[in-house]
Amino acid sequence: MSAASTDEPDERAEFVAFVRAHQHRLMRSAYLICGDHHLAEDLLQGALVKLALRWRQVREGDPAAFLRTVVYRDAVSWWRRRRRERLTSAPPAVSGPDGADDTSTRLVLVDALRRLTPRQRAVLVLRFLDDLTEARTAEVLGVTVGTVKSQTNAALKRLRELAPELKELLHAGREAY
Amino acid sequence: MGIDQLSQLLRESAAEVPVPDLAEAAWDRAVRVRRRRQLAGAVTVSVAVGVLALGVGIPLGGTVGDMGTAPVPTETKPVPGVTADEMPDTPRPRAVLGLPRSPDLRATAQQQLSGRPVERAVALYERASLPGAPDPEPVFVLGSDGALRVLDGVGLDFTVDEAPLQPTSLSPDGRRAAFPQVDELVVVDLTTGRPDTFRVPGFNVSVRWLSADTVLVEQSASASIVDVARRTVTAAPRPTDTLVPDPVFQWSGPRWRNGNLEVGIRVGGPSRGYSGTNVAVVDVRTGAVVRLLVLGPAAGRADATALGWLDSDAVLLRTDQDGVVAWNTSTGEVTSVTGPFDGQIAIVSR
Repeated sequence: MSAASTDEPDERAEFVAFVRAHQHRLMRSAYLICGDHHLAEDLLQGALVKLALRWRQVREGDPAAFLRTVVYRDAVSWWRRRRRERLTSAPPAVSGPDGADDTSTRLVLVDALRRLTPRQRAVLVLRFLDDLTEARTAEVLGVTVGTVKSQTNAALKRLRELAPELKELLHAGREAY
Repeated sequence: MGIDQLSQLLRESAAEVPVPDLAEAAWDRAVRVRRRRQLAGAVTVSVAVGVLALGVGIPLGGTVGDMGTAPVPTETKPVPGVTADEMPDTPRPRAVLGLPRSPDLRATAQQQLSGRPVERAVALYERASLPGAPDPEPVFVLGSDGALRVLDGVGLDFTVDEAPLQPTSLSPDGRRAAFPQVDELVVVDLTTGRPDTFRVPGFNVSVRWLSADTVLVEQSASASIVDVARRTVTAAPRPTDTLVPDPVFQWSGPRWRNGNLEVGIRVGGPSRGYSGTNVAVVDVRTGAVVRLLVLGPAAGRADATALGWLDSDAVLLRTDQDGVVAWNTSTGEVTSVTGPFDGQIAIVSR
């Protein structure tokens, strides 16, 4: 194999087609973990480069799983560092009682997600947006199933504290565990 | 509201996020990265040819091959029955070179190198930069005394694609560090903290120490040899690989010489999934693979880097999942040297 292998027109076209079919979902997941679409774009771009470097090895396996694993682990890694370095003492934003419409509910949720730990965010997004099982979530994040369960419970509990207006929704989430 | 509604709310919350088309750019960048990695791996003996052709009498050592014979590319051959070691899930910890398992890389927590130079460095660190960061993270120097310093007095920039610190940045005697930059090479004397700049026009992408005084600086289509002691910069032929390209496997990143053995990371292979990344020791006289470490299917081990020979038997390598590990190529034992590290690391190699 040589450098030209990465230039193979067929492989390139195959890779581009795969990415275009998956990038919307991954970009949205990355955004929910990061809370910043520029950062999400950078993370996805980095993960795509890693995938392209190994396209020949993973294309007939499960490239979507490879990409998801890289995106989530990189996102958790970035945010763990960022949080350590830029931790602020600002209290959580308190949502107004009239935030009942759909838009404000979404904003409240996104804002509350930002105040979770990176791993808690990742667990929630993997379980509730990507619809992965606990076992697959554990595999993606490189943790045990027990950790996934405990992180999910902790995340939902924290969200209830941060966003009481989401209580009904989050109680429903808790009941699933 | 139930689980379905929580899922729906998450979907709606991210629905309006713009999704640019990243596919083509990612593929193009991967092509550049792969070419750079292949360059980094192709250096070993071919550099000697270039130096000889130019009549530059540089003492070569460490990772570079025998200067007395012109290298002939040898074909990498699979050897039936070659010992293939398996990477354990959780390698047993082992202290090596005084490397901390989790170094404190906060610039404010460490002294500056200029105020406390090292007698000899055993490792260099640079954390990964946050996406979009205007400047790379600072470089840290771990001295043989076990203390960390932050490299000061020099403003390093990103190279074409990556952080300035490379696995090959530290000189074999641990006294200098080299960083490729656009249009120049920066060399820092770690025993004084003093940086020096050598003009090497173009987009320099990788460095490799040929001896304690000489550095090979590579671009995609050219290379230069910088003699730090004599302060000369000499054009070198573009390196060619010492091993015939394998139709199945591909070398990735630097390879390191130890007598007649050379170790590096191979990716590819007939197996599907992620199982195609392994560490291979090749006898350069025959091209035969004599020992393998199979890294397994974990995505966190898909990206691995060979960091050099710790001693006559052990190889240091690094994966995203494991951090730095030592692989004893005689016994097959793998031990954990550091925890996972999000960034670049260079370790002094014999």
